[in-house]
Amino acid sequence: MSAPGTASSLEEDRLLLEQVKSGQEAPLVELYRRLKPEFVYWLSSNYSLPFETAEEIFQLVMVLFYENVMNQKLSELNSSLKTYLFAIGKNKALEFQRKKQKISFMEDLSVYHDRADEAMEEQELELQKETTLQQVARAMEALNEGCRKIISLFYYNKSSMRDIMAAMGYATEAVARNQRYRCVQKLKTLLQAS
Amino acid sequence: MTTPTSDELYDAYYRQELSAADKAAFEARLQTDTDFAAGYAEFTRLTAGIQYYNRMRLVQAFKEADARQEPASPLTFRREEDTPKNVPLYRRGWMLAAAVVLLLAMAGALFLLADRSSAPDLYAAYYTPLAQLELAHPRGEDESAELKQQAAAAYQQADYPTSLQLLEKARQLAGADGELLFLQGLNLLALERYAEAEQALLQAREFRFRQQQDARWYLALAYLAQEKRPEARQTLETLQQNDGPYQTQSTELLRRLEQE
Repeated sequence: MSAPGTASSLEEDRLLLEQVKSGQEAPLVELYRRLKPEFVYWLSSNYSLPFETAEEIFQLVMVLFYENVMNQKLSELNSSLKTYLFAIGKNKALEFQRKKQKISFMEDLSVYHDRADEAMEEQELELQKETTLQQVARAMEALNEGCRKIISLFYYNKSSMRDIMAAMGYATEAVARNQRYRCVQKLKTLLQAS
Repeated sequence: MTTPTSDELYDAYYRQELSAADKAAFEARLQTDTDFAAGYAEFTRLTAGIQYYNRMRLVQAFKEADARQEPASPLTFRREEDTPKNVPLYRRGWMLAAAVVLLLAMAGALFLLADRSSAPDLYAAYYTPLAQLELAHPRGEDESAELKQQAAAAYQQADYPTSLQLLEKARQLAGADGELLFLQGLNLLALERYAEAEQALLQAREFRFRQQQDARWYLALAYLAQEKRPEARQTLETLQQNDGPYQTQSTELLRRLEQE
């Protein structure tokens, strides 16, 4: 592996970006493993953060990077991945210093509130959101592997039905659509039962 | 063409597949159609939960990678701010470390003449406090770095409790870093608090600092003291593969472990 920031490293970064785009998780984990020591050291020494906080920020940065790739907010690289990730990390560290709140993996997860909810206090809404997110996560855990995967591909990776068909080995897009529908219904049933 | 259901509209809106006109119509409907808005609120709870589940799954994958992680090569750990002026000190450190190697090799040779021993016995035969500490020089008025320097001096005077207290103060001021954790591990090892030493030295591996080879060697010793042979073996194998100051005695110690 070349040193970060060099020309050949940029080529490697672009290749890695393509791999992540295609839904491969292993290169993402490898990138995490490769950059973590330097990132955590840099963050904790430059922003006077405890090791554990710097570590959580790096995990959050990697998650946001993955989501930016999947949402096509990041489709091509003009600088190295390291530069990109460190820039997000810097913003998150400054945000953390400003707010002095625990690092949350619930940030930016928007939940629409209808009129019935609007009367609630903000704190109450946050608590309700947290409870709901955890309930859905537990229901996802209770689904079979196939359903978990198809739901995640559709709603998290925002993959097209054609890509889901290929990833799941279905014969047609219609089969993929039907299967997704059934899985979402199962998830809703599990949630109602919880 | 059939009219899309509410669920289909929610999906299309969420996935940003609606045209500008349809998107505007969707948002207007949210304001006027109570049932539609309530259905959408339910839908967003579900999709946020799915996102949350996947985030936690990724974090879990990262944590699993941490748990099985072999330290990356020195090249990837290299700090960009390392300057040429540090090089002579670094080289001097290697010479001193080589002297330690020689002493330890001699201790190993003596050990070979003795009876076969348990892992803790091997630890006792190979363990000596680290003779030379090379901390980064404090930049400006860095109180935390000053405390670490004092802690290093206390360690070298075998005043391990004082050294640990100073390190704790440094941690409170500026958080943990590789040097701090490494020093903490050395002190804990000297105080025979092996499990805590192991944890500190493991955490130190996450950082870039000069004496990583030393940290790895003392981690292997902490494992040995606790009879954690597979972990000790794995750490020693890494040292053996590196062209560093502990290559010789790692090979020797591995051979001793194999003989048992």
